[in-house]
Amino acid sequence: VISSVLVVLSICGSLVLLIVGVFVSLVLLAVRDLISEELRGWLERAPAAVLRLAAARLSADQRQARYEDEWMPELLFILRKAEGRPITRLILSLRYSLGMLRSAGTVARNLPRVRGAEGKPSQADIPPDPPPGHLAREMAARQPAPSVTVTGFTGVAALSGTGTLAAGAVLNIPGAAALSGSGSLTAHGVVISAAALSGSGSLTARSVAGIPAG
Amino acid sequence: LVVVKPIEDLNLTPKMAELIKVFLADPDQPRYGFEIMRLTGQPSGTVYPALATFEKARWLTVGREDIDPRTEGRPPRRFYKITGDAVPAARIQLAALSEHYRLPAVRPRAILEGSTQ
Repeated sequence: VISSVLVVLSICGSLVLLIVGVFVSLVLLAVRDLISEELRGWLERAPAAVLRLAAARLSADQRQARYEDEWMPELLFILRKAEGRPITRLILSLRYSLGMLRSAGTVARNLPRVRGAEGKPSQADIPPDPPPGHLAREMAARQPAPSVTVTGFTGVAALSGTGTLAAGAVLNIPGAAALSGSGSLTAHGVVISAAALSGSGSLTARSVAGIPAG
Repeated sequence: LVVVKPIEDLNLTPKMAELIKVFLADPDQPRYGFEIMRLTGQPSGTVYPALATFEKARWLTVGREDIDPRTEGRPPRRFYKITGDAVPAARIQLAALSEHYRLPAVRPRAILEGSTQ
């Protein structure tokens, strides 16, 4: 009886051990996958992070022209081209980013700070804000446009709905603002960074930055 | 009124020469930064400062790739194209550079005279 009890106990013990072993293996497998997933995520982000570090060495206007318009699209092209080959992808993209980090200072020195051939003005091209009331007086002198009416524009930041934009106001729509709808807008010093201009209407301004071609 | 400024003189280094040769191979062909890196074997740290120098000197103009970002899943890249004025200037500079690095002509008589002394 004792021996059969011992056999049953050993079988039960083995079964428990087996169940624990399977459970631990499953946990380890899941953790390993999680760790590899985490590592993959970090490695995927590394080239972009290095590129951002390189861009930090550029001035604000150069950053727009180089980092956003050239380096980042090129990096995304490299990443997309090597899709399905994670190691090649990592090596190529890191090589690109680290090279940019090394040379960002030289690039910054060699970059033209004036309006480039692609027609994008630098911040230096945008005239400074006029003193309060200056442009209003100037506009009042040029009749018949004492004020400007904005109709039907919808945007994220500063401009939405229907309203009146006083002459001489400087409108700054930062980030991914959208200017769409129908109507017309006439203003001085309009700065639209990475904005989309769509719909029907007209936009007349002395300085317009960042409107994509077409 | 559009004022077109003339190109600036540049003293090409061998690495810059290698880069401009890519453009001279087909002056109408737009070239991309990564493509130039691949064709010349030069790293981004060499290619981009050189491209910026060429752009500043108006040897190259820039443009944007004509793609649909939504279809391609990425933004359009910036391309470079050599300007018409820069083509002859680049050829002259390359010839000068080639002359600079050319080995001196071998004179058999001088070699023979040297060996007998």
